[in-house]
Amino acid sequence: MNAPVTEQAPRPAGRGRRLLATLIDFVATGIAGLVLVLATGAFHDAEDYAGDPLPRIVALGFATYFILNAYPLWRRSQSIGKLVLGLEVVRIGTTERAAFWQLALRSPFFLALYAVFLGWLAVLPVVDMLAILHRKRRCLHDWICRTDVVMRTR
Amino acid sequence: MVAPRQIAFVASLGIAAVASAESCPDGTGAPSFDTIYTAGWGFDPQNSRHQGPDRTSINAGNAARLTVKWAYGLGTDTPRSMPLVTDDTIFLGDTGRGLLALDRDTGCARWELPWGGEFASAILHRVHADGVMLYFADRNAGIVAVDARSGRLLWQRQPEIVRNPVPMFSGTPLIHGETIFMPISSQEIGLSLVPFYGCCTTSGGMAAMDATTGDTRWYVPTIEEPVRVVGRRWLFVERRGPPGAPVWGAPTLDPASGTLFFGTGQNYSHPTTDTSDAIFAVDAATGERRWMRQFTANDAYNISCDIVPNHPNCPDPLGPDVDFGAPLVFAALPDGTPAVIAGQKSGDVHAMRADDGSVIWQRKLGRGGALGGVHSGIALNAALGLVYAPISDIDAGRMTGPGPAKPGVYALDVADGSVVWSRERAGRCPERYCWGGVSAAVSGTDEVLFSGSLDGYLEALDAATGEVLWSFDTWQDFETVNGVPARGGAFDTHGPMIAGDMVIVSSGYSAYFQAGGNALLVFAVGEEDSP
Repeated sequence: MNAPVTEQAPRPAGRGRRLLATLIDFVATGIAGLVLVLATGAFHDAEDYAGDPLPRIVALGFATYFILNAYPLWRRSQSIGKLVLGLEVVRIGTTERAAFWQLALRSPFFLALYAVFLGWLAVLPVVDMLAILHRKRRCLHDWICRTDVVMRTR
Repeated sequence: MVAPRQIAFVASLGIAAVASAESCPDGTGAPSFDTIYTAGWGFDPQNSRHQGPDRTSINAGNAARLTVKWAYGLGTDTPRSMPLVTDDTIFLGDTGRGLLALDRDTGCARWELPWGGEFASAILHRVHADGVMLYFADRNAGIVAVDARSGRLLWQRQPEIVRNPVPMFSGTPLIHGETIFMPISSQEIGLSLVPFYGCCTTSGGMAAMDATTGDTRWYVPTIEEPVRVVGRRWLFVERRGPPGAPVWGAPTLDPASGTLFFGTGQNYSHPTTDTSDAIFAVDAATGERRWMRQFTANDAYNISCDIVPNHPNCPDPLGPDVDFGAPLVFAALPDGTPAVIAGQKSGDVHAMRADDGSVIWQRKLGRGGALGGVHSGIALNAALGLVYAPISDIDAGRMTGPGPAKPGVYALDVADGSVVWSRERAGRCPERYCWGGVSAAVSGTDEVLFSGSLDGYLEALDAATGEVLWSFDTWQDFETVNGVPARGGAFDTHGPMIAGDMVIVSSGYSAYFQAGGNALLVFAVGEEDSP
């Protein structure tokens, strides 16, 4: 169920503010992931590396993402970074909260930020973010998911 | 800045990974096994790395006539597999491509077994009632058995190992009779890089496996003490030990006494044990320990120490990392005493009695360090009574041994360890990264010793005097029989194979920031009557 429509016109978030919010999310999720690795002991022992540890790495990564990023976005239209900087994700051209499918479609783009550690794959998040230079201030994922990031007004 | 030439070379390796060797014309037939020139890493179970006149025609008189007969572009720039040679075929482990049976004269492929893993050993063989089986160690997967005539995969097994869920099979196994002796190290030396990893718990070991089925007959760890927690950090991460004492090199066998010898590496963390940097002698039939002698105590090191200063998994105090990585040589001294001769990364060579491990002589040749000293392998010329020790002495940063570097090749009197001759080598390539040391194993004939150096030169030395008979700079591009661009580089690990009128080497080894390369070079003196 979406929140009620507000009457105010949406005010697009500034580029610097968006970048900073993304940076906060990137660091916070990364640190939380490392804490989760520590606390669960998932990679402490030689046994943990026998066979293929990739599925556990992916599972822990997703768990961290859902706790810190996906769930707050779904409940409040705000991740931690957007909460700190007073931003929210809305449907494109409106002040309505983004639909679940839109948030779900955005999630791989956030996870792709961590491709900056994977050599030439680092070009993926760069390409995504370069689109914000357009006057509409939308990243590539905003265009694809039909969302805007605006200053929170409610 | 990366040079276009380097980019082209790396790209060529990508091509090599998918390119096949040119197939031999129909009617070439299956490989012949009328003559099989060597038995593994050491050419024989005693690891002499010596070819007698019944196995090679290369001598001091014709070594200078060696020329490149053909070259082959490998699929990796860090080759570590030594070929097996028969009267008409060279069996080659080509990481990135697979196991190949190449025609000895032309380099065309009689058969090819695609293999995705990393070849870590010499290609081995065993003759049985129904034919010949080939074996090789895959660095992660274990030992692989293949039908030699067809190239058909028979089986792939790992020994039943305890206390090491992440084994690494880096050393060449030894096959004797119906038994495969399998050296075992551990990936934990690299896992220590992970800051969350609770370093360390695994032990090196040696296993005996049935050569027909791959079933494990016995397994002995090099550390028998149980693992215990010795500390904790970041609330959750436990520091544990004792770990390590891996077995990196091929074992050595004295068939007469039924004793198997092997050396161990350092501990990966504290507490250390008395079994690291040590020589083991075990009953080849049961694995029961006969004796063990440690040469460097309290040596704790792992790769985390090289990457990040003050890494939480780097042992404190840090040891010198002076393994016995090079396989041992079993020899009879002039007075008939059976002896084991061991080269250590510390730059020392030790001779000890084979029956009880007591030291007969010791000789310090180089400053040593984490990359040697003696890194990969020594050789024996029983007729001349000489043991040959290659010394790398390459700069290994803070893991470099004390004193001046003395890279080169040394010939020691097997009776007392005195230096009979030496060929100290300076780097000869100021325009490129190089070091004149000899990290690769050396090998020889009655009259000639072959050594490949880290600056890419392959040399033939007079076995009795050390005089340079022939030298060839392999650090260049080669046209290849399989059409894959090939370039030489540093020599390391397995060194030269000698068979008939040929010397076969792979030039290039990019580990440790050395010069990579993917050139398999087949040299020949062109003798018509090669054995």
